[in-house]
Amino acid sequence: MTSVPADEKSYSRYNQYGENPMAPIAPIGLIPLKGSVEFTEKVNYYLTTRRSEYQQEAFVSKYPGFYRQDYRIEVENARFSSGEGKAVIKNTVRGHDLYIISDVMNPSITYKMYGQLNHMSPDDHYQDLKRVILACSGKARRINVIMPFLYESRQHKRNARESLDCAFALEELYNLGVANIITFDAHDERVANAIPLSGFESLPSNYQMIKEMYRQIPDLSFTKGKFMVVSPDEGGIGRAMYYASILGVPLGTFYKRRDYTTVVNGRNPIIAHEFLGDSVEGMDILIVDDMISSGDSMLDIAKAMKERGARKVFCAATFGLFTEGIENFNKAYEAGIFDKVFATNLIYRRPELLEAPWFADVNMCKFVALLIDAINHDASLSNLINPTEKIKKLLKEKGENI
Amino acid sequence: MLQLEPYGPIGIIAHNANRDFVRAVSDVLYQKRKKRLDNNANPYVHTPGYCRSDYIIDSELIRFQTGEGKYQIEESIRGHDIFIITDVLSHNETLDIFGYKHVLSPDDHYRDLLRIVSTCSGKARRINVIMPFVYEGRQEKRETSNESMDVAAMLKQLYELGVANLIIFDPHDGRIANAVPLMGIDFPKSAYKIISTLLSTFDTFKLDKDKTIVVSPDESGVNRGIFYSSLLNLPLGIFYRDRDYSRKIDGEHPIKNYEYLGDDISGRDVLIIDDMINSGSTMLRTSKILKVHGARDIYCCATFGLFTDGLDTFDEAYEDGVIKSVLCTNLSYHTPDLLERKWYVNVDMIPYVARIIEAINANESVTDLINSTSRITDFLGQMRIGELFDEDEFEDNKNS
Repeated sequence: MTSVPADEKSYSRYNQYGENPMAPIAPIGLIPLKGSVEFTEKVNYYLTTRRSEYQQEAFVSKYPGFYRQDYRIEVENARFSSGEGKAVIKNTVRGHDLYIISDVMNPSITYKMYGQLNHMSPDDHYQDLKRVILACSGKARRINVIMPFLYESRQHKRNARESLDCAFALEELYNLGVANIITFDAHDERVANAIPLSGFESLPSNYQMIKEMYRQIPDLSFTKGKFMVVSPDEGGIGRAMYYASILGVPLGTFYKRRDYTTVVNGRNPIIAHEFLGDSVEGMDILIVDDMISSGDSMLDIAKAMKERGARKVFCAATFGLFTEGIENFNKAYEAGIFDKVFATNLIYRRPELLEAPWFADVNMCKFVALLIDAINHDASLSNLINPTEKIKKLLKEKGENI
Repeated sequence: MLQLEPYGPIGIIAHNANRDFVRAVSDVLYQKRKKRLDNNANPYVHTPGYCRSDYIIDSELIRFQTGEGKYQIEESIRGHDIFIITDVLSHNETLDIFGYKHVLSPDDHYRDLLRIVSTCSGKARRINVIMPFVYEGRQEKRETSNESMDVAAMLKQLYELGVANLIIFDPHDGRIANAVPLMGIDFPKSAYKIISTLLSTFDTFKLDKDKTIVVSPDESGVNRGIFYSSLLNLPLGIFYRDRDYSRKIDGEHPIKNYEYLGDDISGRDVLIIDDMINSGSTMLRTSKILKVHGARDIYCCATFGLFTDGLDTFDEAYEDGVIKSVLCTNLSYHTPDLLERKWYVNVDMIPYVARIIEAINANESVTDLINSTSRITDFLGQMRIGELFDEDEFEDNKNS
């Protein structure tokens, strides 16, 4: 089973299939915040499954709490009638290695404020996270935060006299004693500069994405001349380039041509979206981005691709927010503008989105469970995090000629 | 008055939700300084930026589609003495997150405050925060061991961000200052204003120890009750919660009864004092018991009127003659509905806040202003209340 050959360093390299001899730092505790209960339930399932695979009885019995059916610790995030709140931990966290899972992008969660139902904002979720850390600190052995969608990640640079919210939030967590902050596809990884001394990881979702594509698209083939990866703007080229090079297909990109002679709202206005790349005639297209916000730009690009004669158009984004609802996507799907949208289950997806025929939900829970297992062992994450080997293996299995 | 040199030009920053309040503070400040400028009252009236018609810093709290936000300042604040006025209780602003309706919560306002402070720091000469209702002020102790201590964490955070002065009105528990022993944190009281408003609004209300009594609605507010009763020279009564200590429900010993300790109430006007009216159930329950014991007119006084469960119960109590009036300050947000109620009296704290800003800006000894009991020895010949108030108004009152 072992995919990594044994060598001197293999004691610390995480092995997701076999034994990991390094001692676990402490019993794991998973703390789901409001809004990530369902996600954590799945993570717990995969973690229990993974831990049941540890064969050496001596190892398992040596560490109390290593193998449990339920790693979750109940937390109550109570809200007062004024809308303020407090966190109360319902079970012991003393000596535990805690993983607090927070989905700040879940407005479906509600609480009563002044007698009225209020949907939670990212600020509410983030303050809840801090409350839980405040309630645990001093007792837990180590506190780790898994925040799949990094709060304020798009407020990562200063254009004028404005606040640097993402860096500030990271500093707050670091000062509260959080050892590891795990996020996915951070909009800009350089926000980690705010906390140079802490474990900050921004993880990709490409492997799970490609795997799900094979499952959803029967005639999928990454053959040169038939398939192309497209970046919706110049900022996302790096992400698209990775897909293009690992799949061995050409890359195209859109870029925003701006009028640099004038300034509107502090920025140069966009004149046109220009396309750079080969002809897309008859090709299947994969548009890659970190998130679908309102989705307007994604649809514009899909449309432009169809107009240029593309065969099928797929969109892949780690986070599908669909801030304006999914009506425009339904319409575009019926008009044949695109074929499938792939997004992960790392954040809340509204029920109508999960039912849409064009939407494919990419499951990240198993990966998160493995990650927790690895961090708990203090194992080297690099071969778990780096998807290249796994993707290559997957492509080989599917008979791709790369 | 105010012969001290200003620390820098004043800049006031508002949140979107409390712009009207802050606008009024800025206007009052302008009027005061204009008068001083016209009279050439002190050597500093010609300091650059001393007298301006608008002290509010042009800036914007922006929300993205996701509900996250940022703060942006449109003019320079370099070298300014910045005062941020935050009302975490305002719930008059809504936003749309993915089609879900969200009313800006205390968490949102607190995050906005952090956004403002972090943007100003490094540029402003000094940052001061006026947060009349202290965010999470009631989460000041651990009931069980595994609980978050929110207010302490908030204070530490503001201190670490370099906030020089924090002004909090009538905190639920002043011991929260232990979290930041080195910070300039002051707790002015609204008592003077509430009492003077009470006296000027109701002719029948008298500061006479045979006619009026001060009542604290529960044992945790005893100190507040003692403060009022000793300053006004009125007798004190308190209620305490008689609990069943043999069992626990929801982590608390259940309340068996409300017991009263103190002088006879019958035929007396009653002043019920609390720091805040939350849903109002405590106030109304206390009023009803007092009425049964023969109290005359009942006045409910609290610095902050939240009315989280609406106004219907108070309407009923007023119509049934249980309460005469409710007095709260305009330091926290009030719904337009509340202001229309016959039983409600709004206590205007705007001149106060402007006065505090002036005092801090000139590095006047705020402690002396807020705490001295000797300073004010006479008000309408009857009162002694040690606290900061507006001198101009005091002069006016004296003359009239």
